[in-house]
Amino acid sequence: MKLAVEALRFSYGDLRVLHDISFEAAPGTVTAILGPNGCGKSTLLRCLNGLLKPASGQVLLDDIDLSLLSGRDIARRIGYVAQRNEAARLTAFDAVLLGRTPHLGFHVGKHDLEITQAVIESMGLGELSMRYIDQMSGGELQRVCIARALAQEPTFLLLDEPTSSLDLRNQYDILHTIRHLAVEHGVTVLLTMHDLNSTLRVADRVIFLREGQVFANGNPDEVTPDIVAAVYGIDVEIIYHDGRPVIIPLNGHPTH
Amino acid sequence: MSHLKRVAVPTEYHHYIRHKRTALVLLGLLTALLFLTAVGMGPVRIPLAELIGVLLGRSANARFATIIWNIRLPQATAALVAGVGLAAAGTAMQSILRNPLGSPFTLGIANAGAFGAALTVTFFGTGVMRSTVADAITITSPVLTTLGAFVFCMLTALIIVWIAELRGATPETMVLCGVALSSLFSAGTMFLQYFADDAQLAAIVFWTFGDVARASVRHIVIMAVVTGGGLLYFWFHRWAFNAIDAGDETARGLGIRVQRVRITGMMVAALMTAVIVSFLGVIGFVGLVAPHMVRRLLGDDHRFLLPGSCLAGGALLLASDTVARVLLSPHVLPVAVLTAFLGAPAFLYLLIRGYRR
Repeated sequence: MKLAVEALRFSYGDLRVLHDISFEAAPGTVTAILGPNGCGKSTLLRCLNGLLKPASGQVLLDDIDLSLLSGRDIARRIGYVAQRNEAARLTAFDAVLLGRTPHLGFHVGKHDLEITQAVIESMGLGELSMRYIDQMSGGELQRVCIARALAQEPTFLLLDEPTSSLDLRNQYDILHTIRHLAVEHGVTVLLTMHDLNSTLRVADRVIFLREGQVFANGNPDEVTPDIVAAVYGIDVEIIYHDGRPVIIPLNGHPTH
Repeated sequence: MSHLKRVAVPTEYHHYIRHKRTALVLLGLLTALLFLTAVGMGPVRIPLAELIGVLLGRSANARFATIIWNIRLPQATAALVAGVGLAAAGTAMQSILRNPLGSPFTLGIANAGAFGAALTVTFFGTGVMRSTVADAITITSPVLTTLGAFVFCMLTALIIVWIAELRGATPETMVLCGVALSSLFSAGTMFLQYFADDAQLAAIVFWTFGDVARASVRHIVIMAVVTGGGLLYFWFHRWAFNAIDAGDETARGLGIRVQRVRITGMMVAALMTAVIVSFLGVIGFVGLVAPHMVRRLLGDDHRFLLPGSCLAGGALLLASDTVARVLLSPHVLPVAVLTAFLGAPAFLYLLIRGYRR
């Protein structure tokens, strides 16, 4: 299903964080939101799932206005993986089962347990499912959190810097999983990222934010050194390796 | 992701759930055993056979029957209900504040109750000293004293909730607020004690030592009803509390109204505490220790943590009260003197374990 953002604005008090953001994310694609620290990436993501209420503008989930939906209704459509996750003393299975919350009545049904197990297996967490998450590594915990979001059976998945605290191998695994979810399961994924090269590997669409506005929006191979220089203030060279763009920062001082 | 193929749940998980349930049943049996022990033990020891006979109405021993029905059973029931209520309130507050030190005492609710009681003793003369050996001081007007304590408990909870609304219900806000109110009411009580005469001072101190022997059957019924209602609320929101444990943003992403659950949960926990504190006085640390014992044993999942904490709280208070009655027999200690000793090991345990939340 399609996600569309129309003329979205958001302020914290008098501080305007997002101005006139508009874009669309096509079904079954990965859209990456990029930009320097404090440019409004995480704020935008929170506006997309109703955690923050935009001052004006609309978020449309397949033509349904997000602001008309209850928190529970949104949670049935959008899975959200926050940047910071607390690990209570809960088994991985129960942590994933928590993702069934928006679907639960008073009791956990057989159906909920079976969905949970399906998600656990599809995320390769079968071996870990009886372990307590407070004893897990960062990579394992991140997989559990994504699995929890998938247990919501969402059509949209929002991830706030899903790889920022992970080692290379775990980054690779998580990005591979995200790609798989979009391509094989048709989940529409939006994520914020810092690592440009990882982004270019995983994303179908790249949106650069600068000072709360969309500066550029295009395919990974439309990213140019000028865009990167304008957004991040550093000079880069883009080379192609195996047909994929790779961004290499150049020596020298930042451009501004 | 609606086309997920459902997969049979591994037997491992069913075993795991069964283990937890078994642990709860065992904890329940332990509590029941401690209840019977509490009824049987005391200055007059009642053999188990007689005890069961009296409880089933088949014993001819009128003396035992009088002791059991009029003294021991109400006292044990009060201990059970108060233990359950304080532990449930503590469990909820630890989640609400996302802080291991959350308990009715951290927030100053109990201290506020003590201040309210001291206030009525000082200004309305509700306490008086009598020269009987066993029970030297009596609160002459328990209704007024209780009311004073209750009003201040709820007032404190309201202030905490109001500040939470004003500044956002973050764990830091609520804990700092609790520390501030707690110091304020301790200072207030000290102030009143300094200017109190001997009889008033004795009455204030007496009230401050929480004692489960104080409650009448009517008080116990009120405590049980409020505690039961609170438990229902917490049980109904067990998934919401699990979600809040995973982080505010995650919980909101799961469709939980975090702010609302926090504030209502806080009010419910405060109400339970207020009723118990105002009838029994300040009983420290049960609401802190019981949940931590159970977290260690059963984990943080509220489906098991909540009933587990309740049973552990009941067991803890029943055991403490029994020990308090027989330790220095024929002297009977108020149970709060004993539970106060639980505080030091509890804090040290948290310190050494380096609790993450």
